[in-house]
Amino acid sequence: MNKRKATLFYLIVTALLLLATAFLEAQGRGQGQGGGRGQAPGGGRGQAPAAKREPIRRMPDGKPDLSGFYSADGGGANYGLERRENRDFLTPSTRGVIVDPADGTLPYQPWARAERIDRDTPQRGYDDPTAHCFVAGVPRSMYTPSPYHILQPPGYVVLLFERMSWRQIPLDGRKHLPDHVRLWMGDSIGRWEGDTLVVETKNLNGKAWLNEVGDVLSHAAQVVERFTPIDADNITYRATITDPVVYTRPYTIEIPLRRQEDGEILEVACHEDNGDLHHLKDVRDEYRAQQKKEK
Amino acid sequence: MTALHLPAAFTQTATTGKTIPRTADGKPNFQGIWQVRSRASYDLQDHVARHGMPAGRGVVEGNEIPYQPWAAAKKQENFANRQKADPLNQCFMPGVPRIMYMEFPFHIFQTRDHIAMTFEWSQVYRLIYTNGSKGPEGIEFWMGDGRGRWEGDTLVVNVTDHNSKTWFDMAGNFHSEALRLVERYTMLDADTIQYEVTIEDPKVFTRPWKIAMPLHRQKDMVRILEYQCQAEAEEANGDFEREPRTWYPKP
Amino acid sequence: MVISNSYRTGTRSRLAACLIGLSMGLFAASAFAHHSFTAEYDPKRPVKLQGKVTEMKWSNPHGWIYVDVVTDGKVVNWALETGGANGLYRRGWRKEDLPAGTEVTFEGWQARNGKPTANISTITFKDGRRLFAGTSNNAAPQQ
Repeated sequence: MNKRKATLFYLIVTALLLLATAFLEAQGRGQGQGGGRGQAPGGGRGQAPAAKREPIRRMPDGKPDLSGFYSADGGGANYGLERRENRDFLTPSTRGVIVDPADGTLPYQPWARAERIDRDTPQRGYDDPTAHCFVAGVPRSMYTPSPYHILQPPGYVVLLFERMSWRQIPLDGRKHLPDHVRLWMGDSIGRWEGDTLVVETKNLNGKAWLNEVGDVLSHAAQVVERFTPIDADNITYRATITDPVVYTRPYTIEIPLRRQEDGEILEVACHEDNGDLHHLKDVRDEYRAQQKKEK
Repeated sequence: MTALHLPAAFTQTATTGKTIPRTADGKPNFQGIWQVRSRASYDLQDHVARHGMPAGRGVVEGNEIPYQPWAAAKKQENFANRQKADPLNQCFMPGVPRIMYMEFPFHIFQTRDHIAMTFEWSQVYRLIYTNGSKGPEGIEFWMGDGRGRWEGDTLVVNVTDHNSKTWFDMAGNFHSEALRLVERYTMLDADTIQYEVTIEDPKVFTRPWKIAMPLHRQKDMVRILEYQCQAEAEEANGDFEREPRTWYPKP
Repeated sequence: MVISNSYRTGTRSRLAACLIGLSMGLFAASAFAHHSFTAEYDPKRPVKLQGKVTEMKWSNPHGWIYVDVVTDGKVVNWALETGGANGLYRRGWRKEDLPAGTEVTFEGWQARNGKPTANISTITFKDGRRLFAGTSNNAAPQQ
C-alpha cells in the first residue's frame, strides 16, 4: 500500500472503531450496573440529571444550604484523574476529570510522571495509604466512591465521610495553622464568594496519594476548592491543586456532587475489616526478593 | 455568621440557674470543643495506679458493674490479657460510650436535625439524628447508631446496633451486640455538659447500670488536630514507608 | 490511536489491542476499591467456578464470600472479594439472603499468588438472580 492509501485506510478504520466504541460503551453501561433487586442510577457522563430541578436551597441568612447526603460522580477519579479506557478487567475506565489544562493531562514534572508510572505496578499497590485504610486526604476524600454527609452548623461546613473521616471548614476568616503543623486532611478555611463556597486547604502532610494509580501530591500541595450549587440537589465541585514540587503549573479538576433526599451514611470499618493488606505486602515482598536475586 | 464562641443567646437553665448558650431555635447550644477530665478511659471503676495507668475515681453509679457470673469471669480474663486483647490497641474504633471519655478532644456541631461529633482520635465521628428518622435495620456498627430527641433542656440519645467488638475501657469491661444505651446530655453551665449513660445488655449484665461524668469545654483550642492511630503505628513499626520526595520533611 | 509510518507489524498489534480493549469495555468491572485490584489479582487468570457458600463477611469497603468448590474430588474453600456490604444493603440485599449452603456460580480473577482467592465480577444464584458483587457503587439508592 502506498502512504496516502495507508493513511486513508487508517483514518477510516479509526472512525469505525470510534463509532464502535461509542456504541459498545453505551451498551456496556446498561449491562454492567444491574443485578440484585435494585439498579444503580443512570445519569449521563458527568451531567446533572435532566429531571425537574428545584432552586438552590438557602439558609436563613441567604447563603446556599449545601447540607445533605451526597455522592460524587467521580467518573473513576479514584482510579486516575486523567482519561483512560479500560486497561484490564480489574481497573475501571476513567472519564478524566481535569478541566484545566484543557487537554486533560496532568502537568507532571518528569520525576513525578515516572513516580506515578512506578506506583501503578503490582508491587507498589501496598504503598497506597488507603490500602492501609489511612484517610484519603484532600481532595481524594471527595471522590473516593463512598458517600458523605455535608452539614452546615453555625460558622462551619462539616463533611462526614462514610469511609470514616471528617473535614471541618470554619468560615470565620481565621489564619491557617503554622506551616510546620501538618495533617493528613490538612487545615481548611472557607468563605463565601456569592453562591460559591471557596475552601483553601494548606498544611497537608504529603503522605496521601490522589488515587489508586498513584497520582502524586507532595507536602507543598495547596488546594482551593469551589462548591457551586446549581440547584437544590446538585453541586459543581472544582479543586485547583498547586504543588510546585510535583507539577509544572496548577491544575483543576471538576466533579459533580449529587444529593439524595433521605439518604443516610452507613459505616465503613475499613481498618477493622482489612483483609487485603497482607496480600499486597506479599506481592511487594516477592518483588523485592526477586530484585535481590537478580543483583 | 456567628463564630462558634459567640452564641446567639444566653439564658438560664432550670437545673443550675447558670446561664447557658442557646441556638436560634432555643435549644441548649453544645457547639464547641469538649473533653473529659475523668480517668474513665483507663477503668470505669475506682482504680489505683499501675505502670502506665494513672489512678482514678470511678464513674459508675454505685461503683459496681452488674455482670452475670460468666461475664464477670470473662471480664477478669480480658483484664489479664488486655495488652493483646484490647481492641483499641489495634487502633480499632472504640465504640460508644468509650469514645466520649478518651483523652482526646472532640468537636460538637449542632443543627436542627443533627448533632455531629468529630473526634481527634483517628478522625472517627458520630452523627446523631434529631429529626425523628429511624435507623437502618439488620446492621451492626462499631460506633452504634444514635437517634436523639430533646426532653426539655436535656438531649436524650438512644444508641443501638452496636457490634460486640468494643470495650468500655482499658480494664476489659465489655458488652455484647445486644447493648443498648440511653445517653443524656445536660448543660450545667456554658462550659460544662453533664454526660450520663444508662447501659443495658441482657446478655452480659443482670440489670441496667449507669455512668456519669462532666464534659468540659476546651477554651484554649481553636480546632482539634489529628491522631491517626493506625498510620502512626505503621510508620513507627515500618509497615508503612513514606515516599521520600513527597512527605513533609523534617527541618 | 496513533497513526504512524511503521504500519506493518505495529499496525496489526495496535488494531488487535484496540479490539481487545473494546470487548473489555463491555465487562467493565468498576469495582470500587480502597486499593488497586490489579496489584493483588491477575487479569490473565480468569476463573469461573461453582460451589456452596460457607460464610459471608459483611464488611466494607469490600465483602468476602467463602465458597466450597469441588475440584478433582477435593473441596477447596475459595475466598471471594466482593463489593462492600453497604452497597449491597442499599440495593436491598440482607445478610439472610446468602446463608451457608447456598449454591452459587461465580466469575472473576484469581490472586497473583495462585491461592484460591478471587476478585469477582458476578455471583449468580441457582434461580438466576445476580448478587451485584464486584461492581457495586456504595452510594447508589435502594429501589
